[in-house]
Amino acid sequence: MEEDAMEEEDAMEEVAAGDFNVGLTYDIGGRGDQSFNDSAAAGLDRAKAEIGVTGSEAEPNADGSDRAQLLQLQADNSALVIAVGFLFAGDVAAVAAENPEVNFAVVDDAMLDFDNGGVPIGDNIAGLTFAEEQGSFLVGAAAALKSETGTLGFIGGVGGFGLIEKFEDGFTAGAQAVNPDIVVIPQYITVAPDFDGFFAADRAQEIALTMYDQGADIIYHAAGGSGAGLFEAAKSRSESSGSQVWAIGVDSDQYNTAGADFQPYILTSMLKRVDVSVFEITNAQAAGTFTAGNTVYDLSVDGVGYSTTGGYLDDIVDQLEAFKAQIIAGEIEVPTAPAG
Amino acid sequence: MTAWKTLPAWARWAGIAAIGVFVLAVVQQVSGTTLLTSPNASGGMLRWSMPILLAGLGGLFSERVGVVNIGLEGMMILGTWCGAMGAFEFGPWGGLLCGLIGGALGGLLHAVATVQFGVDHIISGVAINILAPGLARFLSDRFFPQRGGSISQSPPVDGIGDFTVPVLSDAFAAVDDLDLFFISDVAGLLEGAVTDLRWFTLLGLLMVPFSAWLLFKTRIGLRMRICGENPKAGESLGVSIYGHKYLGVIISGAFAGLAGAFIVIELTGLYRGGQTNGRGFIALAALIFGNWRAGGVMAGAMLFGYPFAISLSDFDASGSGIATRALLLLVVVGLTAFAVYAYRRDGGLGAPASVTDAELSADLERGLTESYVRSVQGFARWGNSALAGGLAIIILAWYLLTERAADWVPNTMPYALVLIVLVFASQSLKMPAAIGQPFRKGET
Amino acid sequence: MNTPLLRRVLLALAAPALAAAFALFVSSIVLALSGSSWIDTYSEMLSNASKLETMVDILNRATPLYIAGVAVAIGFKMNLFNIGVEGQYVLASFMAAWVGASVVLPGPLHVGLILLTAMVVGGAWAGLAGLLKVTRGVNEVIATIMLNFIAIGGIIAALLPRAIEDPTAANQGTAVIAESGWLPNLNGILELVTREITKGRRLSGMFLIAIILGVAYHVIVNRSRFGFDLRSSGMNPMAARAGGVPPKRMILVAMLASGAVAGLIGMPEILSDSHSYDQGFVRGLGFAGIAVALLGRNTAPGMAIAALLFGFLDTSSAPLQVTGTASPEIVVIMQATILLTAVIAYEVVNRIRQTDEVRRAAQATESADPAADVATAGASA
Repeated sequence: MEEDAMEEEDAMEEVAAGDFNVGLTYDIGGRGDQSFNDSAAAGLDRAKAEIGVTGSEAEPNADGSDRAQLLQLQADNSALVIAVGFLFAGDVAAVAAENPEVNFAVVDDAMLDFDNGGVPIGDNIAGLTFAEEQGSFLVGAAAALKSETGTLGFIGGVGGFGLIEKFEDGFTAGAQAVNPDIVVIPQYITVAPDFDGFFAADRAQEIALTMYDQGADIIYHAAGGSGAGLFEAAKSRSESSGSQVWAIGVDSDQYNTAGADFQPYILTSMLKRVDVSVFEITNAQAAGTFTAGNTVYDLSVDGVGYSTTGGYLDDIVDQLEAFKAQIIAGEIEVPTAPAG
Repeated sequence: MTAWKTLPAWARWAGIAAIGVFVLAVVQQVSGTTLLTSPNASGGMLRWSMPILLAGLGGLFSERVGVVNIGLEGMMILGTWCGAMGAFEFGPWGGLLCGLIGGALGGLLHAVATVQFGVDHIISGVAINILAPGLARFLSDRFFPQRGGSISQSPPVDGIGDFTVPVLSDAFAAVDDLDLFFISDVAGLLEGAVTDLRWFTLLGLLMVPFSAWLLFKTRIGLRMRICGENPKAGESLGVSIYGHKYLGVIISGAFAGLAGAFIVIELTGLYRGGQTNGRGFIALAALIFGNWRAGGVMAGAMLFGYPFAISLSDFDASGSGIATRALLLLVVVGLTAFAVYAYRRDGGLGAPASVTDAELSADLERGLTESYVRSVQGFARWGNSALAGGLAIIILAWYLLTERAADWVPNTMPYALVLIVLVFASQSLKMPAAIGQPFRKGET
Repeated sequence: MNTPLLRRVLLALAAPALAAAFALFVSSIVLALSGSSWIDTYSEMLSNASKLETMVDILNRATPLYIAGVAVAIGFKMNLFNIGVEGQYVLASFMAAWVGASVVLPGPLHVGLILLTAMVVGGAWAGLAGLLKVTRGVNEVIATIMLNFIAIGGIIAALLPRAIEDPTAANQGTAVIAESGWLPNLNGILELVTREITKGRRLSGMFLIAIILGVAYHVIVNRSRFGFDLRSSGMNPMAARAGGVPPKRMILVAMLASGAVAGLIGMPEILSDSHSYDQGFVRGLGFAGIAVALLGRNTAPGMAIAALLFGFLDTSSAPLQVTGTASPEIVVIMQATILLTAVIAYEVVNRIRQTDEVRRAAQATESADPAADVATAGASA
């Protein structure tokens, strides 16, 4: 419902027409993760339908050794190349320099040269980043409002490289904004450079069950594919104990993607609208307004948000919208950098 | 000591288990945690050791017929994919069966390559490990999107379910709640084992005595083992070496497939690329650790499962790593006990000489001084206990200097433990004699 | 004697040809099943590979694969299965990148220091497994598997936070090495015989080092006393010991050498590409190296061909996707099929060759000594 409303809003923006090709380049794992990459794919699909562009999708081979080559091939056939994931940052900088007539965008990296005061790395490079902490703040607030035990859980996929800590900090801040005494139990599945934590649904399930044992009744995950384990845990614990426990999804509206079995246990999802960013940069390309530099997709442009599918949040939407307004107005500052 | 030896086997095992739990109880008391003997620890250990146990039993059958199976990982991957597909189409039991068949097909491929064509076992295994993930991903792309999955994951599937032993579970829980030293610890661990026990886990546990019986008590088991010990002698006795080797390797793949199906059906509830996570290789380690015996494989699997299960519940709002740190102390106790044992075993009078007289005189001829040879001999006598004692001191210092184990410790500890155990136990392990050797029909 | 020679040459060519044909056959079936045109797929792969820029890609990809193959093959020659090449090169690359980023030295010295660090770390990590084997009898397969997990999940995870340059960056890793620590590329040399290389492709200087390594490997293994000892210990440790070669020392030396070469696998990335160890560091080359060594039969030229073949297949996955011709998984399936059929074909050809030899030897000695028939048959078994 929320989604539909957003799409209508977006549709009211000016949509240009274009008949160029968009080279959408996923990171390892590619389309079909029912999360991050699929969201990017949805953005391209919408651009194909509304703007009229064509698209070519590709992902690197299993060890990620051909990223630069892939980007170059995409550049050969496209006016705009969108790379999904910060691991592309270095290769995009190099390939973009070789292809000045093609525009590039990187999801999840600012693509700014901080050594030189934060200017864009290239005239044809845009960075598309998200204020994950703001969206996490709102689902944290929702969790605190809905929690009966006063204890929440956070499962991060891979710790130690900064990105996932943003989700945790926002979630904790949002929960504490509602209830200063709330307890948040954080746990990461693995530590970088071991990236298995994004693919370890079994471990996520055990961690989630332990959190429920420790009194948490709502758990938020930022663990990619491992999130499936959280949903499984929420289902089995709710069924075996007879009292409802919840899970909160991430990136896309997981109520719609995780499977019908799990819908009764997915309270909400923190939406990271990669689809919006992909559509908008394509639209800018079509309209001739592509600009280099970083665009932050935050609450003010609905680049992040929360889903209400399932109707579990209907009674608290007003409170969440109030928090949202306060964040947009700058009255609440959500911590962005990990502590320490 | 003599009284100990007159006890029946079950009583000795119970005694050892009691000593083990007692040590656990002391260690966790000292370290300020209750996790080591919690129901979570034993229940989690059973769940987490199961894929390693099943794949390890697979390795057992293969290596007992003389075929090294480094392709367990790939066969497990086939098991996960087929398990998910089967569970989605035919329900969880169908998933179990399909996983088994998928793994067995991988085993068949390995058998064709190694037994029929005499390809080096490692080479064939590596090829299977490369083939399986690519094939699984390709098949996922073909079959999962229209079923609500994708190229990298299957739609969710149901587990077989679990059961709780009615009276026992509550009784153990009640005793656990009494918080009595040792007694409640024993009850806590037993509670975890009889509460929410999955049918699949029970099946896996039953596979241990079944495998031991099949291999060591039956005629077909004897024939299979002769393929791994002395195939030529077996052939002269009229045993079909090829047939039994095929059988062993296919059973091996079937077990690996079961391990994969367990991961999909019981642990994650769906297939996902990369979810076997190297457990096929760990199963090989458990096999060697277990001295090529079913019970030993189980011990090895638990050695991996226990710290892993602990680490997954070793956190609270204040942080993580307290119980994992306690495991360090457990390692110290184990190493110290071994150091004392090795001191008495190797250091006492009448200990077997580490170099034979012939070797000694050969060494003297090569110009080595006798004192050097003696010191080498001395090291052989004292080395084990000195090494174990030294390691114990280092780990004890680590334990004392930290308050929580760092977040990388739990993911590393099982591997380091296996390495330490192998350092002290490798020399007393006995692998099948003809393992890895090619065998060709009718050759002399 | 002409016929046996021809037969020998044909047999030598038969195995790889058979494997390639069978792999093409299997891949075509898979392609047909998945609804892709196999003609389009193969022609796209070939037309892509015929571009100069793609050739540079193939060489750049083949370089680390080849080095990895050599590292594995050194172990194989000694009958050691160093499955730990993976952990050795990742750990070595991390340490080398860290050390390289911490200092600034004149060009050749800086590069030399990074290479030396990588070889020492890789050698030490493999040497540990060797030491455990010779002193404690620990099976090297298990030891190196465990050491892989410990290196990546333990040591690097513990040290990475200290090595990270900028904790706020999305892609965290060690600092970028100063330009004095970059290896010059070989475009200038290559362009002597080709047109100008465009699109930012640079042939890594490590390509030259890999060639030197390959020649050195070939000469040492086949022409030196050390190589002879290595091979004889690998084939029969008892006999080698009787001949004065201590097998324990050979095991240790082989593991050290294998690990030192393994340390070089990550150097194309550290010295010529990203110049740092970050989250995008390419892992898995150690396992790929096993495939290269197996396919190349542990010989320098064989592994070179295998590395180029795998490099070609790997670089095909991108154009197949971008043009929408076929699923990139076809590439992995082809690699595995080639590997599996090649090893089987080698084995079959080997048996035919052995039977030939037995028969020929028997014919040659039949008139002279009737007993030799039995002796040769026994020796070849």
